Amino acid sequence: MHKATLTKYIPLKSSDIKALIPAQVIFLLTSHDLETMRSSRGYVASITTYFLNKGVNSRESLSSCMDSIAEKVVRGCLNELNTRVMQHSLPVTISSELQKLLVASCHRIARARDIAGKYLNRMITSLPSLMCDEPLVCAILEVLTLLRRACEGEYTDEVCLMWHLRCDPPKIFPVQPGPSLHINKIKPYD
Amino acid sequence: MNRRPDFYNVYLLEILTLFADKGVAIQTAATANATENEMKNLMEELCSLLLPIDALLDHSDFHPDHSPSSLLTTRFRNMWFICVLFNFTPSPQRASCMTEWHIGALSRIAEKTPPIVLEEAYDFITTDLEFNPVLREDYLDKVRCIAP
Repeated sequence: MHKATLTKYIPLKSSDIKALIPAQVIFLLTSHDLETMRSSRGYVASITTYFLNKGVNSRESLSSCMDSIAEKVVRGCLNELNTRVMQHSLPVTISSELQKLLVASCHRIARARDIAGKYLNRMITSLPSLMCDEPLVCAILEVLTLLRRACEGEYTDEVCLMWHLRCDPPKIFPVQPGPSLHINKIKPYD
Repeated sequence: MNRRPDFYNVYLLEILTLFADKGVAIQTAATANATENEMKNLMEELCSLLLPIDALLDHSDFHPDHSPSSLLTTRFRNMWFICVLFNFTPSPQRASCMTEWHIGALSRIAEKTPPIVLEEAYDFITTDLEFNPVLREDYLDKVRCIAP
């Protein structure tokens, strides 16, 4: 029963779904339902956390289904936001959630970074008015500053260190708590 | 409860454990050929546990989603697995015990749910999914054949 529901949600992955065990199907349905509910209430950033675990990323069929679920959640969320932006009723949490996505788009785990970057890009492209939000613009500047310093640090030291950079208290915009980044193996000027 | 915020966490952990235990009991009853009426009553009892969880999470000074312990993450994950297993979440065939109240409660719970996958969880697939005690294999085999 659950497998059929999952196939209905992501029909293109039906061959991958066949290879899944029932517990994995329940896990994928849970991630779909939970993230759909969260994103419809304006909490959009947590989808990236599913791509952090090595075990999930290493199983081919599971991670390919997870990709499609993320895609479906993002699409649903954008449709919802597009309707709400017309009524000027965007959720208040959207600004802080976009900042979380921004920090996640610099995550040291490549899959989480890709998903966050893609999600953020699509949101800002389809809803350009999101960029009118001052805390978000300041967070972008702070993240760029941190990344540039990380690259410069690696360039001058010529070693691959694990960095933990923190903008606290943030210099550019002192009200919001500053973003912090975990960076490793960033190639300078790549 | 409002005057004892230090008990929020303990109470939440207990009630999530109760939810999972009840979920396992329903799966056992279903595989032991319980009558339809018995199953309906058990499901209603499980549904109604969503309301106290929502009431607890509703406190504005309680944020279990900010730096949760791994135990709390596991309990929340198990609660969601049970909800999906019994179709409490939006699905083509939603459980009949889910009234408007319960649906609202469930989406508010979703808001304060911490991320259910931990980066540092070692062997997540085997330990937390394949051998998860809240998902009974015989029940999963039984529902597999039912059409949606």
